[in-house]
Amino acid sequence: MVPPDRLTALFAQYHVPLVRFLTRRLGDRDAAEEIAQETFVRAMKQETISSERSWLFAVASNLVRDEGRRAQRRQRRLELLREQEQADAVTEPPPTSMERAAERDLARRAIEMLGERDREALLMREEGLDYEEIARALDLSPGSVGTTLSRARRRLMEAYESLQAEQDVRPA
Amino acid sequence: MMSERDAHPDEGTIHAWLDRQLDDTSAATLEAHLQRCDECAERVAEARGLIAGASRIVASLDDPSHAAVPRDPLQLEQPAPAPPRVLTLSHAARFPAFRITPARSAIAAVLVVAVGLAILHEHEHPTSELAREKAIESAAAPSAAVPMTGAPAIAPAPTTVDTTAGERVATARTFAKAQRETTVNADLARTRRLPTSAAASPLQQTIAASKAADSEVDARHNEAVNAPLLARSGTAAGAAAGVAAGAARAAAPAAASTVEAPQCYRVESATGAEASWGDVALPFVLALDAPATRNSARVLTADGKESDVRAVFEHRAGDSLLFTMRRIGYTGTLAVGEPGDVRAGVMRSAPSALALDQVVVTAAPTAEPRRAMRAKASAAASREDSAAAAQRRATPAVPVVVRKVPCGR
Repeated sequence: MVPPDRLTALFAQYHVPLVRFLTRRLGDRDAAEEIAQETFVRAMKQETISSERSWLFAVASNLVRDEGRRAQRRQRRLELLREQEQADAVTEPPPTSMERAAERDLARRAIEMLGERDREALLMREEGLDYEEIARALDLSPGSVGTTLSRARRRLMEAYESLQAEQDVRPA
Repeated sequence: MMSERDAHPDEGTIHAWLDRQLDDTSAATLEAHLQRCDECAERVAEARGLIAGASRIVASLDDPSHAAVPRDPLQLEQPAPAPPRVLTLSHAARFPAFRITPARSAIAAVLVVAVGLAILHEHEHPTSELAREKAIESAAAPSAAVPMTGAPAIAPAPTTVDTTAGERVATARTFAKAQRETTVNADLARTRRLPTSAAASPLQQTIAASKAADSEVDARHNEAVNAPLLARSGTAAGAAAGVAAGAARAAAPAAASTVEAPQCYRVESATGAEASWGDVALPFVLALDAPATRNSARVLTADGKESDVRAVFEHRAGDSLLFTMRRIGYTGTLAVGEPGDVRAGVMRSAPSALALDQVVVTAAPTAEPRRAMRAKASAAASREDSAAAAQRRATPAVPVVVRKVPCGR
C-alpha cells in the first residue's frame, strides 16, 4: 500500500491538475471530482507507483472510459436539469457569462471532434505532462507523442474555426 | 554539413522542439536547419500559433466559476529540456542549475512585463489563474525556444485580453506570422525557461508534517520508492493487496456505537493525525440509515452521540462508496475503497459560507414540487462563489481507514 503520507503528498500535488484535466475531458465538474477521488483511492492500494503522474492520469483516463455510459447518462440528466432551470429562470444571466458560455460550448464541441487519443494527449500536455509521461499514460512510443500532439492541435484549431464559421453564418 | 532538403523536420518534431521535449542533439540539428530553411522557419511559426491557439481553446473549456482552481505551484516548472530517459520519483534531478546569464535576465524582464500585463488583466477580468499563467508561458516559451525566428516575444495573451477565444485564435495565428519576420536574437539560443516560483510549497510542508507524524511509514515509503519499477500495473484494474495490512497498523479497537441501524462504520485517521469531518472529530461512526430509505447516513461521535452532520452516499465503480457531507456551513467528501475487513478512504472537509438552500435535506420530503427543488439546488450550486470553492479545494486530503463495527449497544 502506498503509505498515507505519500498519498497525501500525491493528492496535494496532483489533485488540482487531475480534476481540471477530467473536467475538461468530461465537461462535468462533479463527475471529475468523483473520478479523481476514485483514482486516489486506487493509488492507495498500489504497492508502489512508478512515474506517479503518468499513472494517475492513465488510471483517471481509464475510469473515464469505464464509466463512459454512466457519464453519458449523467450528462443527459444535467442537460435536463439545465433546461428545467432555464425554463424556470426569471432573470437572464448577464451577457458576459452568456458569451463565455457560448465560447465554452464551442470549445467543448471542438474538443469532442478529436480522436480519443489525440484529445487525451493534448489535455495531458496542457497539464504539464512531458512527452515521456504522456507516452506512458497512453501507451504510445515517446517518439510519436509530437506527431500526436501536432495532429491534435491542428485538428482542434480547424474544428474550432469551422464551428465558429458555421455559427457566424447562422443568423443569431 | 547536411543540406536543407534531406533534413526537413516533420511537424511532430517541430512541436516537440517548441514543447522543449527534443534532446539536445536533435534540437541542435533542427536549429541549424532552421537557420538555412525559410520554409521550415515558417512552419515553426505556424506550429507556434497552433500550440498557442489550441492551448487557449482548451483553457476556454474551464467554467469561470471554477476557474479559481490554482495550478499547483510545482506545475509551473516544466521538467528540464533534456528529456529524462527514466522517470524517477525524485524531483531534484529534473531541474538543472538555473544560472543567471544576460539572455536570461532579458527574458526575466520580459516576464516581469508579461506578469504585469496579466495582473492588470486580472483586475479587469478576474477570470482565471490559468489564463495568467498561460500569458506567462506564452511570453516565456517562444522566446526561449525559437531563437532563429523570433525576437523575445510577448505572446498574444496579455495583449488580447478582451477578445473572445475565437479572436484570440486568429490573433495567435497572425502573431505567429508576424514573429516570423522579426529579427534574430542569437543570445537566446540556448536559454531555457526561468524558475517562476521559489516559495516553499504547501506540498513540502505537508510532507514534512506527515513525516514527523509517522517515521515508520516514512521508512516504508523510502523502501517503496527504491523498489523496482512496477511495470504499468497501474491501469484501472488495480491490485488490492496490502490494504488491510497497512490499515490494521493504524487501527484502534472499534468502539461500539449506540445506534440501532443495520450498518455502521468507524472512520479513523490512517496517519494518526487529527482531523474533523464538518465539526465531528476523528474517529467517528457513520451509521447508514435503514436500506428502505434513501442512501443517507448519520455521523456519530466515537462514543455514540448523535451529531448534526449527515451524509448521502452513492456506490461508485468497484463497490467503493462516495459520501458527501450534508451540514450547513461545511463541505466535505469521503471516498471509501472496495470492501474488505478494513476499507481505505480519503476524507476532505472544509468550512464554507453556504446558503441555506444549498443544503439538501436528506430526510423528510417537503411539499415543494420536486422539479422546483431540483432547479433551486442547481441554481444554488452555480452561485457558489469562487472564494469558497478555492477554500474547499485548498483543504488537504486525510487518509482514513474505515472498518465495519456493530451498531447498537
